[in-house]
Amino acid sequence: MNDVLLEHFFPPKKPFSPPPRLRLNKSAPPLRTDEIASALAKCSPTSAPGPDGIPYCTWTQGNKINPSILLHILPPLVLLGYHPASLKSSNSVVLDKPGKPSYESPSSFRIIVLIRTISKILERIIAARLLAAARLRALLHPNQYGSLPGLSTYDACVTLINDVRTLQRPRLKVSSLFLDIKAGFDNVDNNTLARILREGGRPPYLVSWVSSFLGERSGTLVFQGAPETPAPVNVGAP
Amino acid sequence: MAAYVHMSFLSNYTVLPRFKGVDDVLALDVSSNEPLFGTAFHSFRVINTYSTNTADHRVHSVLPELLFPVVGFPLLVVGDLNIHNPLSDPLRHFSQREILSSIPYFEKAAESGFALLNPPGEYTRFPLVGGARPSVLDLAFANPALFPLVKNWEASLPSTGSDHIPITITLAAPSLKQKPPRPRWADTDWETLDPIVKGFKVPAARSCSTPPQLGQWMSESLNRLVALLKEHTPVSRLSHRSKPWWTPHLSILCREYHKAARTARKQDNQHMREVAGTSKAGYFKAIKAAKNKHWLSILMTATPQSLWTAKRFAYGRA
Repeated sequence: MNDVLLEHFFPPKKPFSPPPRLRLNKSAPPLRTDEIASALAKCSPTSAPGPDGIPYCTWTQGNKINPSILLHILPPLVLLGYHPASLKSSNSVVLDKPGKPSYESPSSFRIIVLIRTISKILERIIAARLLAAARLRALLHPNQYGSLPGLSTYDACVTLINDVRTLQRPRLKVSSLFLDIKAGFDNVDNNTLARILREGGRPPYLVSWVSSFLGERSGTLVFQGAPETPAPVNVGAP
Repeated sequence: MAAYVHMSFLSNYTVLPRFKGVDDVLALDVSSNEPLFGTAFHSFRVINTYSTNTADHRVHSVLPELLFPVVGFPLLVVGDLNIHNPLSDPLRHFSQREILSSIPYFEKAAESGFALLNPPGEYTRFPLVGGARPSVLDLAFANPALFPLVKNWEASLPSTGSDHIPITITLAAPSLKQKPPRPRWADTDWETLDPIVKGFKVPAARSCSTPPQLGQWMSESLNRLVALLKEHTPVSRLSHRSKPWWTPHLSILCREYHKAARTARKQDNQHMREVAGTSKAGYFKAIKAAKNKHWLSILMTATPQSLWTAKRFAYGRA
């Protein structure tokens, strides 16, 4: 069962090759305490931790006492654009989708990937920087609502209703087409994403960190009776 | 009675049939040169039986003493015992006669330390003629040496055309991996840690120019910090159930009870509530029995010194 689930959720792909030597990105702005505090503020203290078992509340409390710890541990990873493999091990908890007539197929299960909390904190910091860079270059579509602070599905619905009514007023015919990309995040290709980021003009240190973060990962499936042996993961985003 | 063994199985194991001199009982000794399932045992035995009603309704054709001997090796007892009991089928109402004829088997099994492997209430016989009710007739029992090796009891194979469904019992090496105790991060002593964390210095990463070097620097820095935090964080017990009287059988009953309770909550119907109630009663009864058994074993093995500890358990420190 373990092998079937691994094959289904993490199909083998070409592994990521880290650069032989790391290059210091002098253009990368230094990490600030408010960036770390803001990332920690978004983390729920009750969220399940990754394989090391350290919860967010421990990092929050430690950062309150001595902010220089995270301020010294995280910057080398950002400046060198590399996320070490030891921080990318994860636990993948297998949950059954409710109401399925049969649980013979891997598609009857969903997986929740739990990565180390320190990785998640840095991921949030980088995500905030990527968002700022995208806004600066006006790369975001005006109708983008997902993953943006202050916007939600509610805003998307209100905008859609407004657009439809505006067109209906002069008695025009309006149709809506809804598309859903199935398992989009599960099938993110590292090389394609890096190319898109480069073409979008994102800073090189962010591109190399994102590539490194998505490559060289390992995951351990967690379910009753699982052998709990780590397996390489080269596809998707955690 | 016949037994079929796949040829590939015989290339690694020896299977020796043993007849007990009684009709409808066949024992198979499965042996190997290598220790089996990660244990010290080189063989295990399977007793298969077909026990039928006799003219005297209190006695079946195969006696319980023959089926449930006390032996020092793993033993699995399976078969169509033709008995009905609330332990195997908790939701059915049985006649006094049916219960009386099953009691000697269940009592002898319990006395010899055998555990019933059938999930309670899962039918194994579906009569081909209309009107007759389905029932749990094909029972499986494991003795204490075999029970930790039982991984699964499953009745999911397609029908063979018989009114009895095929059953698969999977044996596997028990998981010996013991997880280290987890730190209780919510109870970290931050008051003591405050000056230590304030003085914690992260070594500079100036010399890291390759991925392995950066990885090593990161691991060392994090390990130092986490070790410091763990020193001031209490650990949880090995398990919520790390109690000396806990048995693997209770783990199964616990799982069954919570599964039934969850289903009852989701489906919210009378039948599932009854199943959950019966499951709960059986689980709590088994806990009580396990505690009693452990207490008796403490008293039986008490020495003049440990007697005072036993007294303290019973009456407290006063």
